[in-house]
Amino acid sequence: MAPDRMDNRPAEDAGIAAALRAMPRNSAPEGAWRRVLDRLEDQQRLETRRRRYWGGGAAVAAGIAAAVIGLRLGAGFSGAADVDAVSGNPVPGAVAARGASPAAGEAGGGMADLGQQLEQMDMDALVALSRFQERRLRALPPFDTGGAGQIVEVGSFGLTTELEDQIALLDEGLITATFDAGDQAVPRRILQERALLMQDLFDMRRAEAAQAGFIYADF
Amino acid sequence: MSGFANRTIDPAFVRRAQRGDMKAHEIIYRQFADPVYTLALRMTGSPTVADDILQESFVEVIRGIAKFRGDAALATWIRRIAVSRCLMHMRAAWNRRRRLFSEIVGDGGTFEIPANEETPELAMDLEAALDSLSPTARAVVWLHDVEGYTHKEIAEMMNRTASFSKSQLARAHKRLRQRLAPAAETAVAPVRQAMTA
Repeated sequence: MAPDRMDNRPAEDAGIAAALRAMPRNSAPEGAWRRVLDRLEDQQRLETRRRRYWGGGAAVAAGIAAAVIGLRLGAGFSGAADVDAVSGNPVPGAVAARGASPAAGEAGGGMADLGQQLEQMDMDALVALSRFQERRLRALPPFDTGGAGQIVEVGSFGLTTELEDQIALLDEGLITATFDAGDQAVPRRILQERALLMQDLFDMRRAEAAQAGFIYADF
Repeated sequence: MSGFANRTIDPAFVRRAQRGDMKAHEIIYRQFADPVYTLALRMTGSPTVADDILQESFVEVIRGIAKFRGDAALATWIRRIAVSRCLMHMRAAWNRRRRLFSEIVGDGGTFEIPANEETPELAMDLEAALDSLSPTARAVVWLHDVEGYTHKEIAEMMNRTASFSKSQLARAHKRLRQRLAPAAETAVAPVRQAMTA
């Protein structure tokens, strides 16, 4: 490029910026305010359901789903033995023996690592991990979107609630798949997906708790 | 310009909205709906998505206004919510497209929407030029050039570095110059001819 052309760049860029700033303003679509109110109402209704489902921050129904898996799998299921009753952490030896690293689901390992580990886990390890994730989530400071002193930060609220909704949906599918499926392929895939979402949810909640100034243990 | 800068609102309405007065919320909406929609439309390039972001943003405004302390202007706060919503949408959409692209091409790198060579007349249109940018580049150029965010602020919002923002802006400007140059040339050619006749 010729030097004079290069010298013109800042002026050209300033011209582009000015042209962009001069672009006409658009009018919001008609009826959008009504749709805002409808959406607000939908969200509030959904949250009432969500609070019932999540019990104010704890994955209550999720535990039921894991229990269903345990019942259906019958012989050979030993998921409960993988989780320490006091700490809620997976017992390293038991879980690792079936393919799950004790660090699975821990922050810092990265979602790609967790995804790879999930692929190698059998059902017992997946259920154990699911229980560990639920207990770890419960250990975070309470999260109540409807109450005073809420932790929710603008910007993260939508993502957190979407994650909770997706997990609730998976749990519904998990229960159905567990009763319907002859093999374990479908519930296994659901549990893997659920583990990834639970990790996202934990990361999000932990970040919110940290931003709100909570001091928490080394999760 | 999205138009946030010249929009103000009586603090009394803000206090009423903080107490849950929906009439006050509607007044705030009427004041800021156009700037939020314009911002969303320019950043995403889609009227449907912009409408969705408009609604999401104001749901968030209604739900979050009790926490608004007034440290910044209400316009700044609302704009930040709208930008955040746009970036959330962009991240999700961009990621989906990137994954699809990677699967097809086997390349994990960046991609840019190719210029439409079959419709050169679109190059005359600044809006079309803006649409020719990748979603990330379009967001950076709009946030920097129009909304006045610094590279540091953009980097924080996008979870990237300031260098990333600068390089995206430089590439976007280069592409816009390329797209707009033929249009500018076409526009001045008749004038030149008239002057030399």
